Order: sequence, then structure tokens, then C-alpha cells
Amino acid sequence: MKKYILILAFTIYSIAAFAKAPNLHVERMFDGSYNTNQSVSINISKNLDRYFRGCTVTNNKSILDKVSKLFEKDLPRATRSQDLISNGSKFRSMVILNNGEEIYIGLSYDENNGCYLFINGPQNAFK
Amino acid sequence: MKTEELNLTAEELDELCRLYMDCKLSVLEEKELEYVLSHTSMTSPSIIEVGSLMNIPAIVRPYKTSRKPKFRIWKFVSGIAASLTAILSIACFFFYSQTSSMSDGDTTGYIAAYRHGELLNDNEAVVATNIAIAKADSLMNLASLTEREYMLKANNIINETHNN
Repeated sequence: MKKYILILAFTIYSIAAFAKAPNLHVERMFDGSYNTNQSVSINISKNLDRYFRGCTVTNNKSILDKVSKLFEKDLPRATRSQDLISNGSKFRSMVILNNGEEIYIGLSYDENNGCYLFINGPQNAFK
Repeated sequence: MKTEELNLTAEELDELCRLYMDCKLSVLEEKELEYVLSHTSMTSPSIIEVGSLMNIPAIVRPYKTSRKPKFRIWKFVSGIAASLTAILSIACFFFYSQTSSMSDGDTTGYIAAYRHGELLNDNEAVVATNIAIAKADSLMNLASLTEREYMLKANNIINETHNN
């Protein structure tokens, strides 16, 4: 009996270890602490196919710096990344692989200390 | 006789035990060996074996008591550990599945939006989130197109350089 219990426990652990959450640094912007901040607008969408998080920062340099730092912290995990600077606008993006799926993270800088951060990917990448 | 037998060395006692196992001792010698074993503090595998065959408590009991409790304690501890592991695993599994469904509501479709610190109602949240998704999609498309454009430009420059 104990042998079967041990096998069951190890099986559960194995399943839990296989489907691992990505634990992205940029996800801290969506942990609820910025929901009531007047400089921030948050959009969260989750359905069977898609996982989406959007965060717009308006005229707040300290939050803008924090978003940039969080983005930088996730950058070493990226399988590919891109920095586009054209016509005065700047857009940075990266792709992170998790559970065999691609997570797309984008950060677009606006004028006046604002930015738009989004996380987009299939639901399986975030389980 | 008593002192004489008790002065036996371990090797001699082992030899006697071996002779006993080979049935080469007389009944009297077997009785004497039984007496010696019941009063000796020496121990060896052959002494323990003969002692257990003769059912001498002084030899059999320490052997039994020194091993059996350890085995029982190990079984007891491993049983508790296995049970706790199983309970914790199941509890964690249910806890995480419950918290994930609690945090995001219905997993088949969940939308929430805050605009400048204020929670939007359902309809507003759907509209705002659709706009946000469209903006993200357009940024991703723009990035992809721009990257392709620059790659083409770079390839053209490389080709021109090769041709020249």
C-alpha cells in the first residue's frame, strides 16, 4: 500500500515539474499592486487559446524605469529579441520558450515617460 | 568445571560451535556447551546461530532486540513519511488548481481591466482589452515587417557587394 502511495506522490510531483509556470519578471506588473495606480492601465485576458496581459504606463518615470528593469531581467531567458528604433519611437520585444510554446513580450515606449508592455502567448505556455 | 569452561577463548568456542553444527559432540558435551554459551559474553555468528538453535535467551534476546526495533522504527517513519507526502501532494494539487481558478475566475474566458486605477465593468473591460490586444498585435506585426524589411535590405547590400 505504501509503495503505491509513494508511486502516486512521485507521479504527481513529476506532472507538476513537467508543466512549469514561466515565472516572468514582467508579470509583477500584473500581480494586483498596480491595479489602482492612476498612472497605470491594466488589461488581462485569458481564454482556452490565449493568455494576454497588457499594461499602459502614462507619464510616470519611476514606473517606466521599473518596467524597463523587469524587461531587462527577463531578457537573458529570451530565445530571440529585437530592438526597433524608428521615427523617434522605440519598440523592444523578446520571445521566451516555456512548456514548448512561445511567449511574446513587447515593450513600446511612448513620449512623455509612458510605455505599453504586453505579454502574449498560448495558454499552455503559462501552465 | 564452571571456571574452566568460562576460560575458553573465542576461537575455541567457535570451534565447539562448529563441532556442534557438524553433530560431532556427545550429549554431555552439548550440555556443557549450552552451559558455557548461556554464561558467556562473547559473540560471533556461529555462537549466535548455535545459541538460537539451543534457544538460549542470553544470546537470542540481544540479537533480536537489537535488530527488530530498528526495522520497526524505519518502517514506522517511512510509513508516516509516505503518508505525509501523499497528503501534501494531493493538498498542493487541489490548492493550486483552486487558487488559479479563483484568481482568474472562469478559465474558459476571463477578462479584467483597470483604467488609470479604476476597475472597468464587464463591457468596458472587453472593449478596452480588445483594443489592447489589437495594439499588441499591430506592434508584433510591425516588428515582424520591419525586421523582414531590414533583412531584405541587408541581403540586397550583401548581394550588391558580391556582384561588384
